[in-house]
Amino acid sequence: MSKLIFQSFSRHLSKHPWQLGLAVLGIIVGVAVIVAIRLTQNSAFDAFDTATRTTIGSASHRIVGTDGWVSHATLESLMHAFPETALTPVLTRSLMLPDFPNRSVQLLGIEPISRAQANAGERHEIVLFDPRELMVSPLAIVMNKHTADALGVQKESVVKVRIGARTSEVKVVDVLPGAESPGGIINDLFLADIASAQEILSFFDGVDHVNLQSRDQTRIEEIGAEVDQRFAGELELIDLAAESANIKRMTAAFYSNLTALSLMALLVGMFLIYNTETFLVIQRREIIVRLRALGVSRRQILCAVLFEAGLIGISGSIIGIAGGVLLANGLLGVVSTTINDLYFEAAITSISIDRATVSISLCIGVAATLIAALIPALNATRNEPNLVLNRITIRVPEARQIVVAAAIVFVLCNTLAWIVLDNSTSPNGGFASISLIVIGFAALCPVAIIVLSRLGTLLIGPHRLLPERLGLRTVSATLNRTGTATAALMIATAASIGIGIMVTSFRTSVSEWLDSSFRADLYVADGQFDNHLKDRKIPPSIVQRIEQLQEVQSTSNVVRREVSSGAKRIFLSAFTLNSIAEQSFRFTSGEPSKLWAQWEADDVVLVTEPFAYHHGISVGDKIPLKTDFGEHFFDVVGVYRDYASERGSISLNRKTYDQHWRSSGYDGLGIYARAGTTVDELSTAVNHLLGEETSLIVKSTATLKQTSLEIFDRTFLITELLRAIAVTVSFIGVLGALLAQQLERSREYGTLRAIGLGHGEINRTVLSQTVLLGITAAIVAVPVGVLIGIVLIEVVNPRSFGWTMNLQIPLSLIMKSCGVAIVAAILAAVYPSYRASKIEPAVAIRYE
Amino acid sequence: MRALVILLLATIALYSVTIKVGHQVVKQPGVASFLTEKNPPEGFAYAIANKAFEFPRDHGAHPEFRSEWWYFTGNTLSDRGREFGFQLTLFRFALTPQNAVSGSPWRRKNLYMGHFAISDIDRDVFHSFERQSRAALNLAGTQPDPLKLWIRDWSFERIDSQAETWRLRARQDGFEIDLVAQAQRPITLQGDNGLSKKNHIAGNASYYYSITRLATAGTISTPQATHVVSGDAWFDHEWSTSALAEGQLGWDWFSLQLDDQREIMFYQIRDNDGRRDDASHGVIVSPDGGKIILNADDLKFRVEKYWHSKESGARYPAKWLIEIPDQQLRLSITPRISDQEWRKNFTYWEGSVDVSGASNGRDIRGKGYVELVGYE
Repeated sequence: MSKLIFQSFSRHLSKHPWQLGLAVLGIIVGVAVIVAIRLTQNSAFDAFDTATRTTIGSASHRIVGTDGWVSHATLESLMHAFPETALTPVLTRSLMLPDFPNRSVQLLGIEPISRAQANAGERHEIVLFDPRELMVSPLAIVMNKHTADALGVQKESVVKVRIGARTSEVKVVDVLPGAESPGGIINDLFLADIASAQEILSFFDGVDHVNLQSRDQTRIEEIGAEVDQRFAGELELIDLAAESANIKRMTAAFYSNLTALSLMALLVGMFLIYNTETFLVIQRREIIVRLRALGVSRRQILCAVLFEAGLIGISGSIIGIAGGVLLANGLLGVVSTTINDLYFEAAITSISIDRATVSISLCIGVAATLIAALIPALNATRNEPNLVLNRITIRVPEARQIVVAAAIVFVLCNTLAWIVLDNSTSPNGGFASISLIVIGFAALCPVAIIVLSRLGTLLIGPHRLLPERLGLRTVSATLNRTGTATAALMIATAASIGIGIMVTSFRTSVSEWLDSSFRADLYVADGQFDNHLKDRKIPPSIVQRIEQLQEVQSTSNVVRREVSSGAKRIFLSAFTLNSIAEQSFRFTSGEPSKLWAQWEADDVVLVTEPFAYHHGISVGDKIPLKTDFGEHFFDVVGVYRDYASERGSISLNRKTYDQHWRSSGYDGLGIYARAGTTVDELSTAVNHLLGEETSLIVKSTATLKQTSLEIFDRTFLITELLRAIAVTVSFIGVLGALLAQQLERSREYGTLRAIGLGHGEINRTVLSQTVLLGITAAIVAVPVGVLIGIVLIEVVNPRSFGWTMNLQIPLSLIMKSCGVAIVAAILAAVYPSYRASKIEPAVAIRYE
Repeated sequence: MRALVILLLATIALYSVTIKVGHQVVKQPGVASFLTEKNPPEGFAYAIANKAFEFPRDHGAHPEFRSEWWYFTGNTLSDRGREFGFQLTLFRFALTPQNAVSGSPWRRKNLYMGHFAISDIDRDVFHSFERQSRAALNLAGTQPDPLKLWIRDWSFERIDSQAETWRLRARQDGFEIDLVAQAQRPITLQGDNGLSKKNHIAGNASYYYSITRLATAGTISTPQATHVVSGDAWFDHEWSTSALAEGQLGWDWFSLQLDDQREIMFYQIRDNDGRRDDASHGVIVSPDGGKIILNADDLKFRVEKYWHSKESGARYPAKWLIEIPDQQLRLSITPRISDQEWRKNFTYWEGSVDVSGASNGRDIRGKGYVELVGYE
């Protein structure tokens, strides 16, 4: 018996391949986007791990100099203090490649011998080459194949590198397997022996830090205590595992936003499946009734429909997974750039497919299909075996019933959304309530169709525009078919509007923040931004000379560093501010009138919004910081907006800083022009003073702002891309759904033709129907989109990153999204109109 | 149904293409690869001719040669009757014949490796530790006066300028030795007056001498306790640029101290087929320092038992029967602990052994150390 069911079902499907395709498409889109995002995340983490393993080996901890470096003398006493511990010195810098403008590589100087000892017995050791080669020749480096190919070099080649103003040549002694193998070294990395690294950099005074490896917590604590005691204010022990876990946690928030986007795509997919399945059930009601008459039970029918849906789900998911892999490969470049801008430096070059992702996506895809098909499947079982087969009718619910049902779903979903928002603290709570809001509003779509079609009919009046009237009235008469397609179109449009609102608001806030933060006319920083070496800081003497320039009104300056706060490492900036610079802080908490006085006099700090969020800090709290003279508590007096770092940072007065830390020089300098002096004049004067031999870089405020916004746009490029992909495919899906519906009704059109409607009139009928659907979707999408935007801005972003921003609702964006929805609807009318007008009335009504 | 089968196949296919990224186990080629190196770079000195040894100068490093090692091994007994074997070895390897001129203190040609082991005979456990370092920032090296060799805080120090008295110190993870070893024999020049040929190719040889018995006393500590011990140690110092030739696989080296106050050193070099090379030789040292040279033919040699290392997979000989007919000497040699395998940078077996047998019809006993290199 079941064979009979399957045969009859599959026969139907094979005769209607476009319906089958449509159902599968919904799943493909949803699954593909989910897979793509998961894969890029995994690959980013893999790249991060590979990069970490390459750069730190299997080190678990690191001893850092409080000045940012460790002198050879200190290193020697450290080595003698811990003779039983393998300590691996590391020296790393960015190198510019004069022959390849805009390309920089990371020079990583390691000590292969102590590293080999540190990693002895480690099963994840990754260096595949003989370290002797690196140690024998001066200025020798190795790189991976990918980098070598990109630079067009091979073994024995010589590569020119530039550090600050100095150029030197390094020799490639080996090219190693690419980064795709876990044993390879990462892209854009020049691995060198520590002696060569010092020679390349002409830096012979010490190393950056010392890595060590131990899983023995007691031993680590002993070392930490010993370092604190013997090298107080000089060296510090930090936990690398905690550091990388922290970085991963941050990145996960970024990805959870993207995952939410992919779930939105899946939701659209579910609506499409629901639509198709309903459609298939209605179409096959004759078959089903006949089967029932032959003795097939309700359960068998239910199983058959669900089984069919399952097959659609599996095949859609499989194609979706394949598509997701392709999509992930396409997105790799974009993701890689964003990750590098925001979180960690790692070259993500290849997608590795893992079974977990395949399994999860398959489950999600199939589950989504089955859930979407459940209601149509239950409907299918309601067909009673009726011997008078020709008399089968389907019950179209009354308008009143629809309105009541919609109202119940709407109220229920939105109440639930509020409850979820109120009772959750994670960004996922935000996403869950967005989904509920979307479903709630989707339920309103059929009601909106009824209202709008009645309104349209009223406007047209009883005697004019017959084809349009006909079109409008048929739409509301076939709600069970049109409602879901409209809902899907609405969701796609709303998602587009919501994300657009979030990105626009974010960008506007960042832009405003940049305007208020960068008050100086020129900024000076070291060319190597990652360089914290003492001798590379801007010396006070230069600052004095700059201040003496007649073009200069005043200066402000900053020194940046990492400090320990309990077990955490946090970023600290110590500022010398002038009155203009003070105004650049935008406080979200704290009293600006009072706190600047405290800033001058007391041990106080200001914290950024993300910092306050991540560490659960608010005004009035005390933060312990490890100073050069032991742990000291600082009062938090203000929280300010800052989009510079997602990790957040704390700021304090340079005077306060100097009382607790030994340091000289600056990392950055802001220069304010005297009235009447142009930025160009100021820039010329400063550049002239600095001369050519220095590695200091002078940048105008405009350039800095531009660079920052470029980074911002790069960050959201992936969001925009995914939005575009999801929305486009959703539109195609919806278009297909509308198309299918119109094609199904060709017989009706035949009848209409037979009673005297012309080609043009048929076209107008079809068009008026789809335009009504498009307008309905657009109208409902506007409030939903705005709500999504608000939840993203007020709930998801603060919960993910700690950032707040001002809501911006760009009208043009809303108009554009609505326009696209209506255009999609119009496009959906083109082919059916053409088909409908081609119908021979005689053929069409033969069956009536 | 057909669709179901196709889907099932597609799913399986999808799973099979998913790449499970496994972690490769990659053995890092470390400095110990010098040990069996066959083609060293040009510019190093070779052990070709006999040389006049001069002590204590020749106890120090010979950096014009590629590699060099100093070996102290010994068997001791604690005042409470516990038996410990120990090994403290320092290896030196030169990357290049000369030090390059550089501003970097890390640009040093010499690399050092240290091996420190305690064989806890009663508990049947072997504890081994390895260190590597380059001779930079005083992390490892040799100094002439007073003569001292070290890697971090493991060291040999010649504490008496007039006599061969050495202090050996090493400590790692709660295991520690602090011993003073006093020579009971004059220095024995091995091979042909200190030139020890490893095969018939000129230059494939080392300069090699030993102190075959040093009365040793001090402490050996485990994380649980410190033991006051005394016993006999053996010192070997050997340097060369090239030792093994093509086709030579490894060696078995024996240092045996008999209770009749004689010592026997014997080594055999094995070729790829496991045969003994003609250059294999040895020496019997009598209490007065007199020596009898043993050539390959003077000795009958039989492996009675093998031990299979589960960790490395290597199969080592684990019991030998040695006969020196000219001396009427028959000795059976057994490891005191089976697993004395080094599984660090370089895998080999080096451990304490028991000796029993007969000399001229009288029972004889002894202890010693055996080194087995090149087994797989």
